Amino acid sequence: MADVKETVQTFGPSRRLVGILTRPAEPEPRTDGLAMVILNAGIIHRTGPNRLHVRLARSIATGGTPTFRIDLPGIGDSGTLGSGGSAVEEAMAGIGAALDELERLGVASRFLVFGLCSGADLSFMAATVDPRISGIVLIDPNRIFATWKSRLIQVVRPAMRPTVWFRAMTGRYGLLRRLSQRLRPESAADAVESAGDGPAPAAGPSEGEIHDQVQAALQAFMDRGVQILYIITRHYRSEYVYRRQFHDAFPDIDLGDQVEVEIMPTAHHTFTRASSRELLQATVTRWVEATWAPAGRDNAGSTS
Amino acid sequence: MAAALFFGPPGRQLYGYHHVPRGAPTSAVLLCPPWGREYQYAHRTLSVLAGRLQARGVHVLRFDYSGTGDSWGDSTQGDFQSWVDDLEHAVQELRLASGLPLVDLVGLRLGGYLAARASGRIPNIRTLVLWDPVTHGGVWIEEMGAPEAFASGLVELGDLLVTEEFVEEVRSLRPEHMEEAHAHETICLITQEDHDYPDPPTLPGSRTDHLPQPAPWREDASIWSGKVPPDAVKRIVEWLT
Repeated sequence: MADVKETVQTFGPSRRLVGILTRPAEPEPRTDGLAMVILNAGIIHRTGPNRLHVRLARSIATGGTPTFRIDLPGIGDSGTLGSGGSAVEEAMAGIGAALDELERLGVASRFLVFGLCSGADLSFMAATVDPRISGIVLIDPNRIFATWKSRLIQVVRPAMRPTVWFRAMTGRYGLLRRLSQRLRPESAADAVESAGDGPAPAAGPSEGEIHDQVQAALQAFMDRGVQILYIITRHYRSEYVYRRQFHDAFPDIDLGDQVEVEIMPTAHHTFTRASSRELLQATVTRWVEATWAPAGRDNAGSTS
Repeated sequence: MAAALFFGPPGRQLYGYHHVPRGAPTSAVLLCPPWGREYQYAHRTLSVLAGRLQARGVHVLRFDYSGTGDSWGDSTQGDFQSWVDDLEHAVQELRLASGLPLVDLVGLRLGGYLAARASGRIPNIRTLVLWDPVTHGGVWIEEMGAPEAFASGLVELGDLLVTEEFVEEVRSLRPEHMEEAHAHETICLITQEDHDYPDPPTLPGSRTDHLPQPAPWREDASIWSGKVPPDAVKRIVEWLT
């Protein structure tokens, strides 16, 4: 704590939204105008699950980058904006207001946005509409994109268990039939699978359309130089099964080194164990320091 | 109207959220939260309770103990005596902000234990509400799960890193420690009839009210948070207004 200074900021319309701004005390704050905004994980207030966000914010700020942990409209200590819009629309307005506030205070003019679960979805959406966002950290977003390889692994991995081989050899279930079913393309896009347990909802865009929308957004991110840290926990261990699955799900885009993927197979979705929180904190802190080193050091982010 | 703020001694700032009533205030209430994941789950309930009291003309201050929530420090720096001190600072802050000398304390879970202890040191506590207070440290540790050794002499308790000394302090928590409680009126609200706690402490001049309700400090897995127990909130608002 001696390395950071923390202040309460109210912001947004009628200053109904609440956030904690954490700034480095030593060394001097960075001069290239970069800050990280940390969104709510679900409806957990801005401290994050088991204070994950507090420790992360202080760690990032100690390294020189200001952080702003916010409560989105209607969560924690923030009131709703009363816009009459949906929860997502209010959340997007709240993120925009947080960025405006940091600009107004002279803290930052470009931003990294960190989100876990629904926070990851909102981070991604915000980056599609706000060019001030230069990087996003997505942890367990609510949609995982499958590939032929992930489907193959999903079938083969359990099939490697001795009990499965025994059952297959004794004819107790049709391994080859299951294998052929899992490898069958579900759509022309051949790449999308809902992360939920149930079937895809009947209403709304098709899986292929969603894939195309995400692909278009990713292409725009690549063109803008947006950096992405994509982290998957054990929550998706059966859906996200190899490191480059995200890259392979979008073969038409050169994601290059702008997308970094980290799989944390021992981490629970809400990082219940201290060891997994420390791993996440170290990973994000390293990514920020390596990708977004202040001007004067070699890095990818500061030149974009 | 509301104000989010830091208060307390320099270098040990505590986070608070002050719910300011419209018009002439009727009273002032300090909400003393649980600890660890119980606080994470109960945060919404305490916010709802504060809002209901505010609507009845009450100044309400919610706050975080040191090493918890948005307050300074981390989980390895907490102990009961520091948190009782924090509670005293919070009462001072509420008196300054409200201009009212009499203050009510509502403590949930560990907050109930701490509020009872602090009330013995703070003059002019009007009503003390102990909501499912933690009264036996051993039982509480069983609920949180056995402490697990971590690195550097630290221990993982209830998903948080703490010191071994803290675990021993928790283990030694007894209802007798709450007998120093002192208020014009003390009410113990028990909403969990099925838990393993022995009888709540019998404090001088206190009464106990039983009201079965969902436990706001336990996780509803569908929302990663606790359910708001409407009747318990309503009952506390009635007592304090």
